[in-house]
Amino acid sequence: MRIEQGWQPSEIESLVDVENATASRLIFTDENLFRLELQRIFTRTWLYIGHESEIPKNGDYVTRKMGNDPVILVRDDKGRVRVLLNSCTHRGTLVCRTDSGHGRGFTCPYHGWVYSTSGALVATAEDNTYGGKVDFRSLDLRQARVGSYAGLVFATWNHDAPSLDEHLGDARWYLDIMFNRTPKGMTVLGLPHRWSPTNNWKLGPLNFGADGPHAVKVHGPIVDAALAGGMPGARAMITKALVDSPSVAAGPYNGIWTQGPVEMPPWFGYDPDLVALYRQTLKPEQVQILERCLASVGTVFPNFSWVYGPIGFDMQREPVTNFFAIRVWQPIAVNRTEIWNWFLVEEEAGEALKQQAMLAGVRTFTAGGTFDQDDAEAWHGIQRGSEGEISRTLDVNFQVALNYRDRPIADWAGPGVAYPSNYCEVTEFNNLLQWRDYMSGAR
Amino acid sequence: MSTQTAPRVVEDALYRRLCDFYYDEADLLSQRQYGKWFTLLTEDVHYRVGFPEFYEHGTRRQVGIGNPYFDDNHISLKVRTNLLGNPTTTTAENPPSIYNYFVTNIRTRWAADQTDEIDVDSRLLIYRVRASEPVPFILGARRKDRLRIAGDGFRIARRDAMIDQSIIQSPNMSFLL
Repeated sequence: MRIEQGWQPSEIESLVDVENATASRLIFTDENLFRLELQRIFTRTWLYIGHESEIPKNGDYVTRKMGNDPVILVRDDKGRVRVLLNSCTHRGTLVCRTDSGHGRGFTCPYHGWVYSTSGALVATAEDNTYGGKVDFRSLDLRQARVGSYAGLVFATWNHDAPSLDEHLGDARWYLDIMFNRTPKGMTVLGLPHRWSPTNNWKLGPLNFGADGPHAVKVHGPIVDAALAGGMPGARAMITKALVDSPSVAAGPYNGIWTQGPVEMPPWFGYDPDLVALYRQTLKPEQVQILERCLASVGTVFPNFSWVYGPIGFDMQREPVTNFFAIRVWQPIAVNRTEIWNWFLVEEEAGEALKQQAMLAGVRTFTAGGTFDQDDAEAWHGIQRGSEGEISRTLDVNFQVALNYRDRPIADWAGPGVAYPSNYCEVTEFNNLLQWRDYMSGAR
Repeated sequence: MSTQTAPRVVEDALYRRLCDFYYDEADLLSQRQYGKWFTLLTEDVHYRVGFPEFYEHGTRRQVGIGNPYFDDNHISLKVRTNLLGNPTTTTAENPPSIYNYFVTNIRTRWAADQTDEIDVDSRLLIYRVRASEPVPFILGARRKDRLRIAGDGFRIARRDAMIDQSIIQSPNMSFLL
């Protein structure tokens, strides 16, 4: 393969030590590796773009990113979802400079070229001036290949990649539990929150792959106060739950399903009408994973994650409600990320529950949320503690995996592989194994 | 003939007391005195902080029911202020950041619907330096408040704030506005 910017495939392979479950800190600090990621990962695999409920009507659009490329996510005038490169084919300027909107097409602000919602070039400044010498069909907006699963719209520039369904594979069984558990599926509660951690983008996907012990240290206080309504002894209970609950690896997905104790009633705080829909939509094995779930946290490689769990700030006076945040960790620079974060709830939820779900989400997982704000500090510290001449020669350590990776759960009911602890580090590290495959050219 | 009386003007002395209230509040937030700040709120307080969205003229559409950055009541603010106000329950603010809250453009008028309440608009500039980040974070915001007279002083019954950044240029917002 081409040798780019000094990194040989064997050198890249050695950055992630599969045998020892460690990785070089260079993967978080090296500028050349960051540029290679944009090329080898972000132009070649399926990336999450947005949710179907953000563009419900023909002509609705939002602007998004694929790696460092600006794109428009639009539902065209025939109802087909498109992902268009947001760059005029004339001289390259952004065709759409807004966060969202609705229209019959896009007009470039520079020379007034007009594109339809399907990305076709409708008119240049003055078509006659080309004297018939140019094939206008070659000047349609560049389009990504689009796939949609469970309301989640993904896109890729790689026309040789497997279909989205094939690519997700076993992950779909787990995506169904979160995104496909009622007939109408999920709906977004608003446009995304966006904020800027000063660390490499991969720290988020790794943490959500998922990191059990940090939940006790970093989130201990808010867990005490409010997880599952702030029941007494919450921290001890949650620690035990995390240590004993399953982590799952399935296709590009890795995550945890933290189970509450058997004393905790199933569907604690849920709307019974929605529970009835879950039972009729999901398989019994999927229902069993969800009914006592204290936390579902997961990552679909490379940079799409979700987090879900019950929260209640005063069990006497307010209902316990599940927060459900999905996010993309956008690669901005080797040491800078933008988190783009949405809140979801079932489309069938009543108005009161939609409101409660929004409150649960914004109070926990966003820039000022009671969980997110503290993670930011730990991650910023990782960047500062890994950039130096000496510090970047050290490794990041996932060696709890040595104790768990050969001990999968034997009778796990779902596809993929499950391990018996949210502390196992196997599923976090799996994200780096995928990284290694893409970056070394193995995939 | 209209029976509507002329709107009550906030007289100078009252305006001065309101400004003092806002400067005192700015001091409390700058010093991260969240316990004391919490006592400035009414029990039925509604606290909300939204963010701007960019639309081309005439194309705005509502997506979902809307999700601001903060939407809190007395109960959730008690939890937030407890966590932020205690060094053992915050990672983001231990060590505590340096904050300087500048409150300006204070405009006041008696509420049209309640005789003991006052509408106050103000602008905020929050200047923050974290222990782990010497480059200051500067955030502009605007507030629309409803104050309720309480004895000799005032309480905040409603705050509707809007921050002026579309992509927040900081890893977190571990503070209140």
